[in-house]
Amino acid sequence: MSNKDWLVISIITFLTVAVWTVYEIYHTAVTTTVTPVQEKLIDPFEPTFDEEVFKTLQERND
Amino acid sequence: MQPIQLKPRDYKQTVRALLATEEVQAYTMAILSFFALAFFTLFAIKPTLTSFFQLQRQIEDSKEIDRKLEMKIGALLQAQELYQQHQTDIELLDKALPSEPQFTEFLQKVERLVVENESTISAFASHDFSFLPPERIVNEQGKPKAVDFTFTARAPFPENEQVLKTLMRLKRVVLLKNITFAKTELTEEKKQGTASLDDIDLSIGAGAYYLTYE
Repeated sequence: MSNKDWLVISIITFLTVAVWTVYEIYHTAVTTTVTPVQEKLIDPFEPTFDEEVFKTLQERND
Repeated sequence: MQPIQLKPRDYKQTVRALLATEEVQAYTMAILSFFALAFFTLFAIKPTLTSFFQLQRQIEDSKEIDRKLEMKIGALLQAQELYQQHQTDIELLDKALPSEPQFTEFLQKVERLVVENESTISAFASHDFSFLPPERIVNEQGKPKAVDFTFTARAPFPENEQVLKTLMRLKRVVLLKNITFAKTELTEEKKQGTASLDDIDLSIGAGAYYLTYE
């Protein structure tokens, strides 16, 4: 192999490593670290009662 | 440029001779620089930057979790307050959807409403209920289940209509599956006048619901 070939190989190697590094960093930055357990814990809920249900039930017979 | 051909004996001399030319020096410098850059990027820069961004992401996620948990704590406090306000009303929900079938009590209610409306039960059937203690249901938690039943009430239409209306006005959740009004057969009692000729059979197929949490 000539020197030129070695130079091309070294440049390609460097570019591959650079692209791989950028991809890994991007992947790390966008991947959430929240676990499924934590997701379940932070699942929001609305503290409301359907008052109509109570009214309807009160009007009914035992 | 000629390809490099090395012989083991004059290896050092050949290398020195090759490196003496500027072109080879320049190429060697460039090739080694690129390989060195690739090596350090792979084993030094990549792990450092990955750790940095991972930690940054963890901090952001932790802040988000903290914010959402604060909101949830607030919602829980509101829910507790509402629960205390409606504590008496919640008992109504237990009557509408008890935690156990309570079919015996329900049956008494049905019997009472039929008697109160001057009707008579001529048939009653349920295949989903046993008077033996109920088996603990482990699966399907929080899903409403029904005890299905059918019964036939015999009375003139207005009384039977009232039976149906009263059944539908019970606090207990009852879902009607089918209703049939049918003329009663011409029996001997009817012929002799001891039974009412206006009597009709009201057949109801329904389910009494309950909700298990265990």
